[in-house]
Amino acid sequence: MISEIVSVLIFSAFTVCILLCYKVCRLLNLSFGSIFALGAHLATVSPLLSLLAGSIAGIALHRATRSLKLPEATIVSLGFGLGIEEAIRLTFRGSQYIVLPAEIVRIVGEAIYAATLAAGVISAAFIVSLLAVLNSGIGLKLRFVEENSELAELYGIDTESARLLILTVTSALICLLGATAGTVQAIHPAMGWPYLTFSVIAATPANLFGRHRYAAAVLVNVACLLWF
Amino acid sequence: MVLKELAVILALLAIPPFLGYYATFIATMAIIFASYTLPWLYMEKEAGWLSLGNSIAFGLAAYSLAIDARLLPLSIAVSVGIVFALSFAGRPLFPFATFVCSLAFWQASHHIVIGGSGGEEGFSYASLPLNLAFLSAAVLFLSGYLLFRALSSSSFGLKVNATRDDEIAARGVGINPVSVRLAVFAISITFSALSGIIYLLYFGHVSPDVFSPVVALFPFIASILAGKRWISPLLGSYFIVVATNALAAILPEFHYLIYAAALAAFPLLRRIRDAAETV
Repeated sequence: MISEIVSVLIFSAFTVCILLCYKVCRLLNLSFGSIFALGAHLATVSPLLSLLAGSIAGIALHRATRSLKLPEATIVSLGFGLGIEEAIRLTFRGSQYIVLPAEIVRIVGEAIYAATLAAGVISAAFIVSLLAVLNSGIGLKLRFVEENSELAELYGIDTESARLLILTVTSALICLLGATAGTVQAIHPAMGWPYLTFSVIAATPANLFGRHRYAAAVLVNVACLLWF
Repeated sequence: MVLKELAVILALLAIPPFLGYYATFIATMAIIFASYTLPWLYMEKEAGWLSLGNSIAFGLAAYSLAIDARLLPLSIAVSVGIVFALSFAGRPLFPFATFVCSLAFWQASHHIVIGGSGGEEGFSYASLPLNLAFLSAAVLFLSGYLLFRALSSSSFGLKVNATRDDEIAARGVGINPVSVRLAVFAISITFSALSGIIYLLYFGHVSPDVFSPVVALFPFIASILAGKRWISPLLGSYFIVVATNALAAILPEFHYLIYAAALAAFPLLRRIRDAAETV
């Protein structure tokens, strides 16, 4: 049961990141799968390096797409992701499908990888803090940007910084989740695609819940867990 | 202009068999992907629907034939139904809805196991001798080229263009945009399925890779690189396939770099092309 809860939390965080980028950054971020794979590969060097790499990827993507409309920005994000994937392929040529040694812990009698548990805790912390932030003053500004970016800018909200912040934080988080996954499963450059596919599909019904879309993302993932 | 284009196409189709086995092998692959790109171009250029999910029809047809040929009509109907249903997401979201759907097929196809075969390995099927496969691919491309050119200049083509430019105005002159869209999708998807069948007959094998992003994005990348004329699918496919194979020893999976560069440069290239057309 613990493993299932952790999986829901990880996929929920992924889904929330997709929704945040879509609403605030006007971009369906299709590079998350490759950023996840990047984190997993960097885990072979140092998991903490993934935070830095993810942040840099987020900043780079922001710069590449800031003046583009949603369709073009999404296409560029896909190209950006494929570029990262090929860079991984060239850099880690000898380490495709590698498995790293992993620690196992026991919780309520259930064995689980320590790294997976850490990923669950990180995901839960991210979702809870996001929901808390969305109810604060900063959250109101973010919601304003989500609803009408042009109008928010007219009212003096720095939408550019909001976009940069969201892309940097979400990319860093996805890269870090990749690093935790990299220590418990065979890693390869295309390993992020299943996570991306599932999260985009889960984000679609969650987005229908309007301002409650982030909480709904968790519920959709729980429903998927129960279904499967 | 048309004759010049036709002459170039005939040359690209006729020369490879005289250049030896390897050239024919590469050319067959390029022509199959050109045949797969043609119906995509028809959908995008004539009807204004940019699909990144034609790989669903391509892959499903190959899978159906490999599993049981009686499943083929159903696979085509399902592919048309899926793409048509996704079109109700609207034109701006249609490319991404179809792309994510093709990714879902990619993931799901790993779990298709029948009679102990399938899964990641996929299914085997009797393959054609190379020359026959080349000929089949060439005939398919040429017939597709003539078909789509004819369709684009027919009265049906005018209806398709009218719905692309303004659906409300088209409705005003008695055209049903939804029926026209369904007809365009049915034609395009059926032709994509035919190219999937030739793909299976050429390789004698089909695996989940037929639904991969590489296949899903192929027509879009070919059009970014070679433009949107009717000859472009052949030129774009030749470029991607030949470059990938020529550089495979130095840069494995070189097509990923082509894809990444083309997608990243897409907004810029589109602006340059639009400016050139305006002038």
